[in-house]
Amino acid sequence: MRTDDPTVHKLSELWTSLSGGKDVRSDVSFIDQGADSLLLITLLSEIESEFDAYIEAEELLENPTIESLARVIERKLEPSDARLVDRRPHTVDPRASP
Amino acid sequence: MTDVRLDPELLRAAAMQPCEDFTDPILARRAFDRATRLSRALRGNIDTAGLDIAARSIPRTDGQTIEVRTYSPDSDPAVPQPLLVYLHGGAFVAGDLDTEHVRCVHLAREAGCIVAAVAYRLAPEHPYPTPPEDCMTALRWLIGDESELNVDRTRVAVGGSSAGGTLAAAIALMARDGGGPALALQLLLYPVLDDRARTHSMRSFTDTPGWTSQNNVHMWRHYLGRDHAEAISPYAVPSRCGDLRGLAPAYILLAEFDPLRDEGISYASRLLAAGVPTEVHLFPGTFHGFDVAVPDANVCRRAMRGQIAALQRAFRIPAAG
Repeated sequence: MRTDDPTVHKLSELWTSLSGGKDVRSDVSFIDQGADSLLLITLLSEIESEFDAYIEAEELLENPTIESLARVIERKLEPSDARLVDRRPHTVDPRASP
Repeated sequence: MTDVRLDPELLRAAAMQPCEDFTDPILARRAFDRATRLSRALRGNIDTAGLDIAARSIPRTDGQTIEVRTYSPDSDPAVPQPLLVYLHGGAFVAGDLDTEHVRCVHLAREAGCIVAAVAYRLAPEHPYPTPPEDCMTALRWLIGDESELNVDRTRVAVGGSSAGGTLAAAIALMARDGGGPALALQLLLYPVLDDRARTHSMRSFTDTPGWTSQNNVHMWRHYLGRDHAEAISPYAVPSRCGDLRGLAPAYILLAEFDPLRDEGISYASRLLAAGVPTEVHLFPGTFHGFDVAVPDANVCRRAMRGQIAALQRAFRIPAAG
């Protein structure tokens, strides 16, 4: 497990406390580690309060491991900064946008 | 807070019931629908053998359509079949044709009747009276010739869970008052019936799994709109109907630790006083939506058998075995 990645680390902690698992794997799907829909719905609620990130059902199903879900969460937390950069007039000409 | 003693088989699911906040109906709908899609993705295939499941679009008077899913058991095409129109829950603001797909499959297969689930329009975009009007439009179309379902019009029932139970009870009132159709049964599963929040269960159950008194206040606000202080129609709030005589026979299922419990008991006892044949089951140790949360628990199987038996009696279908 990559403990140097803060998102992975935090998500692992969440998952460990929810699943009560000792052998938590960050590269194995939640479902293969015994998750059912109740547990996954709870996980998404916890992610929402911990990270302030809303994850859709499909995003979780397509990224069903701690590692891949951490990337989804990070992408959701990034865009506000990225948009600020893009809005600077010298980098983006608004007339060029569709 | 009342001591909540749940059935041991329901404990885990109760602890994990999402505590969605219905203050904002759009956020609540998003979370509700996400949970439905996750459950559907993980539950695997359910056995639908012997059923023809079809999507239908029913015309509305404004030129749009109401989406309906019909579950038709294999049967002799020459023999008219009984029909249950089933209305999902979701506090009037959430839910769709997938919300109660599993229940609809079970009821159609095991009771041996056609089941039609209706995607009525939702509040707050479409508050009362749109939802019950959509349901009545769908019901009348389904029993008509245009649907080609070959429904036996003497064996038509309406049912629903939670807010869908409100709509089912409203349809029963509208059918009695407005020229039919005659209904063989109103199947009300932990129904929402009263906006006045006067009961013990509604006052006490502020923290119960599945539904809370606070969310109940939000739900009625979204459904009735803000300016509803005077003259609330009984078609919006069935408990406000002063005269329950002549209504369709009722089957009412209630959960012990549900804020809606006592308004269900009260409605049942008023139906009985009005001479309406009424069967009431209160399942101990259960919470709002318990049978959807843990369908395999013993108490949920009992609840399902009760619904099937009630439909078969109402439809005069001999029970299997």
